[in-house]
Amino acid sequence: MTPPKTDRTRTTTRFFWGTLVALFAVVSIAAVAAFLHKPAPTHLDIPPTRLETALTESVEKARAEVVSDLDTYLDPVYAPAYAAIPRYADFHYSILGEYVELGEAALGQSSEALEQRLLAGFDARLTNAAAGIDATFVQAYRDTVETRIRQEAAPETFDLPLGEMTASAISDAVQRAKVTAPVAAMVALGGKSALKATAKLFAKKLATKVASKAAAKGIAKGGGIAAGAGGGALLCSWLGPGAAICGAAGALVVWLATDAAIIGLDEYFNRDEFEAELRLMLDKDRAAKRLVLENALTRKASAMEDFRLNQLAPAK
Amino acid sequence: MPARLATPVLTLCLAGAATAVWRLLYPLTDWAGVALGLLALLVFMSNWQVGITLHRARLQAALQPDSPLRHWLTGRVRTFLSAFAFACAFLVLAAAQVLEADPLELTLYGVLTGLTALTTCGSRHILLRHLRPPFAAAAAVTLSTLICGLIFTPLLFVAAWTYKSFPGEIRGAATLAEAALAGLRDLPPRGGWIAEALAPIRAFEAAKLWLATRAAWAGWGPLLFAAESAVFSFVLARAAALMSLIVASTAGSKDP
Repeated sequence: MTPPKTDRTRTTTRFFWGTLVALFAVVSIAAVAAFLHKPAPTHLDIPPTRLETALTESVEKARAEVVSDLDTYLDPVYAPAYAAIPRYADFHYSILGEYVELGEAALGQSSEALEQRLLAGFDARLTNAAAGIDATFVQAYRDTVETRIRQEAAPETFDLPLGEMTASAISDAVQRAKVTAPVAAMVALGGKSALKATAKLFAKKLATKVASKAAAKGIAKGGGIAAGAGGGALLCSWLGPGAAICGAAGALVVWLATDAAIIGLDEYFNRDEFEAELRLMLDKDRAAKRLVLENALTRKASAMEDFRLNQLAPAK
Repeated sequence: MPARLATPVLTLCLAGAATAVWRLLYPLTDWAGVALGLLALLVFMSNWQVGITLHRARLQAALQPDSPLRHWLTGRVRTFLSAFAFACAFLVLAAAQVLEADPLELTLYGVLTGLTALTTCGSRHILLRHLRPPFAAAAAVTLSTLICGLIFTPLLFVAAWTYKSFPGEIRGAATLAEAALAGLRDLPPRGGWIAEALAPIRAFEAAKLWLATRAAWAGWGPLLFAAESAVFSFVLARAAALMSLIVASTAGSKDP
């Protein structure tokens, strides 16, 4: 026989059944209300799971779009440097340039001078390009998300303005795209230094070359200067003591003429190779920078995409 | 329906309905919290009942019938505090976990609840052959919590490790504070006292995830994070076991 129920037991029983019935009533009412109350849509709202998928897929699409467009950003960064090569070669293969470079080599300033002549404004241009890439990524992401959402929409809601929830989710996602792992920050961290290091090596090589060329010319000039000085003095012998000035001028003319001849020969045989070497240096750096920017974009995209924990397990 | 299955099914219905109300209505109104509040209240009542009867049985065995200590050592304060602490912990953890659970996790929670209720009823029935009712109920709760917790911890671990998707913005956050803020983004923009209560948990979870995904941890961080989140199965199992007891006592079970 079931024992008689006390007041407390009855209260508990009522509470239990009341809770169960009330919860089921709320779920049923909510389900029925959702089924019956289907007003004509005034806004375009996408269910959260589909919206999440659209946002995640748009990241990869925006990344691919920007990566395919990276050369557009690198062109203005490197164009002035490429354009400076012939000017720099003109300077390098001139008497003035030769002596200036020799002086810079003696003072240990070859690297800075080369950067100034060839890479003036490079850092600022690269920073601007990185900022431009960030802005383009955000714009591409926003455009892709909006296109994807319109594709997800039912035909009758296609032209409607975005609902508050969807618009807010997109706005949050775009805001996150702006602040998550910016490419400009990656470039600022380490992207700029590579070219300077290459330029430094090149400048060092150039300084050694200039110094050895000057030494070789010194040997070649020895006899010529004596002959020039002697010839000048002979021509002006009728001037008496003034013949010494003519001798010095003769020596100078021979010195400079020898320089001009040797530089001319050097330019004739080596200028193309010199310019090609500078272009190769820029080409290699441009390829390296492209890779840095591509990696930065990949990092940004992966930081924005949802992930699973097993994806973080170290690769075996 | 077989009588033995009535309690697990009713327990599952109760938990399922409360979870549905909470998940469906919380984005719209804070009143959705009432559903989980009622569930926590049932857990508290059952925990109280199990605790106080066990304590009384122990005192009855320990104290002389005419001892004046009988008036002081009632066990009410201790039982109330432990029942209240567990109900609060369950309420807060369940609210946070259920909101961010994916369909696989929700299914596992459902199976865990039903299976724990079934194990509790079964083990209580068997234990009653050997133990007095207060001890049988307490032992059944402990036993089923341990058994189901141990079974479901690896399952929830696999679900969190392999299938659950986490927001990339937490991993990509530059600082711990930024990650904690990212963890708060899914809370409803209207704010409210429930959001205030959930915010520290969300921020803490996001901070843990951020720390776990740092390269320095080399794979151990995510593993620990998944394992730690799977431990929730023990809390849920105990709550389900307690709920099944109150369901059994109120829904007409013949067991004493």
